[in-house]
Amino acid sequence: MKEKNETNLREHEERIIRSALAFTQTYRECEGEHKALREAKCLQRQFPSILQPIREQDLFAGILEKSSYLVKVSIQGFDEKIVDGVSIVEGAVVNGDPESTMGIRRQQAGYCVHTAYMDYLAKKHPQCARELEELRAFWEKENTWRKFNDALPDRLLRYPLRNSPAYSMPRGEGPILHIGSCRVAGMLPDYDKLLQLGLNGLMDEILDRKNRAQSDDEHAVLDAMLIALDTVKGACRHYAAEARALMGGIEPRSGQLRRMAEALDALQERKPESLYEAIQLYRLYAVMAETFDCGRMDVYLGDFYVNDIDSGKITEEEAIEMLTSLWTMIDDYTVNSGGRLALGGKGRRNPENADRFALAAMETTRRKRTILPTMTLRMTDGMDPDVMKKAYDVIGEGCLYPMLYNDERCIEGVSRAMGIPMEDAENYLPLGCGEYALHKIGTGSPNSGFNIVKAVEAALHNGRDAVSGRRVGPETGPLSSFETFDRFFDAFKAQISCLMDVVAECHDIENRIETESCAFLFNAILADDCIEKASGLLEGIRYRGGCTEGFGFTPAGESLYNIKRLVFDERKITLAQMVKMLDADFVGFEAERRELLALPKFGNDEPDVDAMVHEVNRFCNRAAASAAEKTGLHHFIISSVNPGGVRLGFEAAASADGRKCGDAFSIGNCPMAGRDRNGITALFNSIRGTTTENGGYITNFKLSKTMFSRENRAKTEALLRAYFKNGGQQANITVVGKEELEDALEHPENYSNLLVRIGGWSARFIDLESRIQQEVLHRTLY
Amino acid sequence: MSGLVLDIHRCSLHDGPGIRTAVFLKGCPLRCIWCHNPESRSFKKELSFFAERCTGCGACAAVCRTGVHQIEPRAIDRSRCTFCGACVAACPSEALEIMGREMTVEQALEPVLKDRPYYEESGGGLTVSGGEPMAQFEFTKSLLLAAKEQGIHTCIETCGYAARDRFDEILPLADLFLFDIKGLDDAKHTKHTGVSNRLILENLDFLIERGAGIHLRFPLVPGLNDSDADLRSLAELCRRVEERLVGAEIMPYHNLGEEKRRRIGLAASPLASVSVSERRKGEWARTLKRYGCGLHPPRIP
Repeated sequence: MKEKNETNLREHEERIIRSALAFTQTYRECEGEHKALREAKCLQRQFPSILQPIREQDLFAGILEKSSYLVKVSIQGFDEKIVDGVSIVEGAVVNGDPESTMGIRRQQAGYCVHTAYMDYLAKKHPQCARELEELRAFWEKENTWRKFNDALPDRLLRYPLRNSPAYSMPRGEGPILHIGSCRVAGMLPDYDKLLQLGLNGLMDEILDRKNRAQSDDEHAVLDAMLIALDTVKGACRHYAAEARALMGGIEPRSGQLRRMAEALDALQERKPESLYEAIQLYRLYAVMAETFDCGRMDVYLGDFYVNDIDSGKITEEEAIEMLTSLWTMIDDYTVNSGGRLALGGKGRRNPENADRFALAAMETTRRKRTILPTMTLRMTDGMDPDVMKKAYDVIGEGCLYPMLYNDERCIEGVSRAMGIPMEDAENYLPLGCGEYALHKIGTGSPNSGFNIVKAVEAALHNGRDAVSGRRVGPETGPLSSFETFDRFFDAFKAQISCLMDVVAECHDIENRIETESCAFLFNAILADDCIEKASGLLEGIRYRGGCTEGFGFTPAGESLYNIKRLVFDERKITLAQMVKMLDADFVGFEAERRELLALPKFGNDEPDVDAMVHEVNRFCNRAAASAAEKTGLHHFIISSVNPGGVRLGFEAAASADGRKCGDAFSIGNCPMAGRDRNGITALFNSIRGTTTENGGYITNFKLSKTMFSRENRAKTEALLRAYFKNGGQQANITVVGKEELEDALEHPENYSNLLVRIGGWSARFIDLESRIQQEVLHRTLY
Repeated sequence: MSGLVLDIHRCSLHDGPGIRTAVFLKGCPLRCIWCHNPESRSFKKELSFFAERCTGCGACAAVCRTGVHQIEPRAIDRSRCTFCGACVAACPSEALEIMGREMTVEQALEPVLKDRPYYEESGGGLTVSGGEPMAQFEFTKSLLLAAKEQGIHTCIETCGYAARDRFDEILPLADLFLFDIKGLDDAKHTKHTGVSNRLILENLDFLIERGAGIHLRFPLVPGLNDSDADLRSLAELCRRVEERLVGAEIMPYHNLGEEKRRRIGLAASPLASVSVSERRKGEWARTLKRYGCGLHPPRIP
């Protein structure tokens, strides 16, 4: 059996090599051609060869292993150390391109190259070694990531931006700004259009536009779109043939494969007519477009679901069986920070059908308990009460989902943060981690990390890292120059603004380089305006934006509050004494540290410290918006989402809130773990003052199981209702018992189903690294 | 007007209808042997010590001017404590805490007012609890009055042991009384709580007669006040006043108070190892029901 697997693997690898060679040859042949046509022809080489075979249990076709390629054109490519379950590098080999400006490469967009995998396959397949070596040499220069690196002007590189492996630097040391990725992640294509029109319908629209084409460029883009859609049809043919080849076994599998083959046949000829066909087309297209988030699934599957159920074509159980299979495929082949689907909210064309689908989707999640897909519920006035009831049922069982969004507040916030009309802001959807993106009308990949606490540290050290002494930000003045708190606060703001301008400009440059190389055809076809404008994604999309992920807003605000109070208001200590304590990581200053910790903390409904944290949030979001104005980006936002707070906390020295060097930050607009001690209403009161004008903040909290017990459920619902009615924007609710978490550390084998929300994403508790487990454990349980 | 406040719990789900803020006052005239809040019995401040957190670093002994703390062997002479708080601030591992804090009515009311949106959504409000709130009468009265003036629903948790005229005065200020009945057998009651139940039962009748909102709570302790006769008499009481009741519920004994006893230097209670199974709780409820007493948690009247 093992031998057979190895044979299969070798065949797969050989196919990957052949396709990479063909891809490269096509790329070279198309030099001088329009970029869209070159991309379309490359896609024809790339697909279906990098698609994975139909899996034994799956009801649908469409699997792509994100790192199983040598070269491809995509909105996101991944450098991974494990490909197809096999470790391809030994030890701590640094991925990517060591000569590039940005250091290691995790993700790339455009023409992506997986160099470590090339090296691995060259060794394993010596007959191809020479060709692979040539391939590597060619793509090392020609990949889009490298071109982006080369395009960065020196003035943007005054401060360290290089990405480094997590926890590779000494504790407390790190930059303010990490640029970790070059990618067009977080795309939310218009799958509703795909399923309403089908492949041929889309082609008709493109052909219709072609009749009105005015220039060679327009013809080239539209022709390229047609080729791309034809490539999707080719993938349908490929999988249909594969399904037929697998048929002939026992039922029910044989019947399932027949249904798959027939649907894939039909989808080449006409638009989908059943829930099954709709899911199949969505899945295959999404995989080929490499979009990880699922968008408004209730809208695009709602009508198919209702028609099939009401006509008696399928039963509820059959629908859930299909969704279960889809959930499994998403869970197995999507990064944990992706795979989010949205339910509810304003701007749906079919709210009743969508709500019925939402109930089935939540029931699937309740039964399946997979990490992915994650689920957003946009809550609006007048929504079906059954949907809300179901949501609380599922949350109360500890499924984590759906994550709740106060639609009205979010729309208003997105409208302000992105500077777009309210009706366009109705298209907002949180990405996998929680950053706001605009469904079908916007781009805004979160490609960097921003350490807010480090900016306070830099302000206290005239732009230098407290541990290494290296420059991390601009010179904002020695301590003696801060005669008032406002002067010091200005120094902090200057650190933020400076690096925010850098990151926004980098993002704009990245987009420019990507635009020079690629049209991102699959995503352009399903983005509003691109067909009409006959243009690629980034030049055609209505709102080309960007996002940076901010970490440590709360401890930064608490630090500034303590500095203001102790140094400037009460004059108990000098700023120099404060810095001395922090630089010593409080060693010899334990009593002083306790004083810092004893001052009011965010999350306790303490107006003054809350106001400072809110001010930090407000300022950072304004700084992001104003940075965008200096670039060609339509908008630039800052989110506060994923568990980078643990990692970036590791990279920050001791802070004036009492946090020790290297300790984790809290995530989103949450209090530092365990510092909220006044009850959950106090927590909510602190949080609901967060500016709505933000790039997507997540609010994680833990509720004990008893809050969803029969006797308490009504009160808990009232509690959450009051929170949202009075300004709460978001809630990710982990329902768990503390004993369970502690016991899970002791007996992980018993807790494979224990899901926790980490920040912007979810995980099995037992799979987490211990630092993050501790952070979760120490969060207050209400 | 100030009172000695033990603690303020926000978002309490268990101290009356809806979401409530519970203000716990210090001091109780009863000495129930099953008391689960032993730190609320004394009318004075107390020094609480979490032995498991103590590292024996000696920071407390170094700052204490009256010699309360001895490190080797670890001992605390609470009689010397002036509650200055120096040791609490000095302790690096948060092993010390002073129970009880002087607060004005305004200070106690401040967090209560902050949660108004949650009361409005859930039908909740303020609950004054204890100890025995009727024992810090003037403070309790002022706090309830201040909350009423703000239009906030008010509850008081009481053992019923206070002069009748006090209940007369508090009556218009409390929308709901969460009224404990610890047993109808007076001899047992005196033995277990240190006081007769006569005044308590008279006060209950008085409140019912005056149309007060009453929710009865029966603290039940295995072997002490849960005999068939005990339950039967509770049910009879319930039936007698049923029409006027907002609700009634059992408060099963739990031994979580044991740890708290240790922390304030009290000897272990004789009930330290007693626990109540879910099955026993079910039996109690069934027996009460059999004798005609329906139970349900408090709702807004």
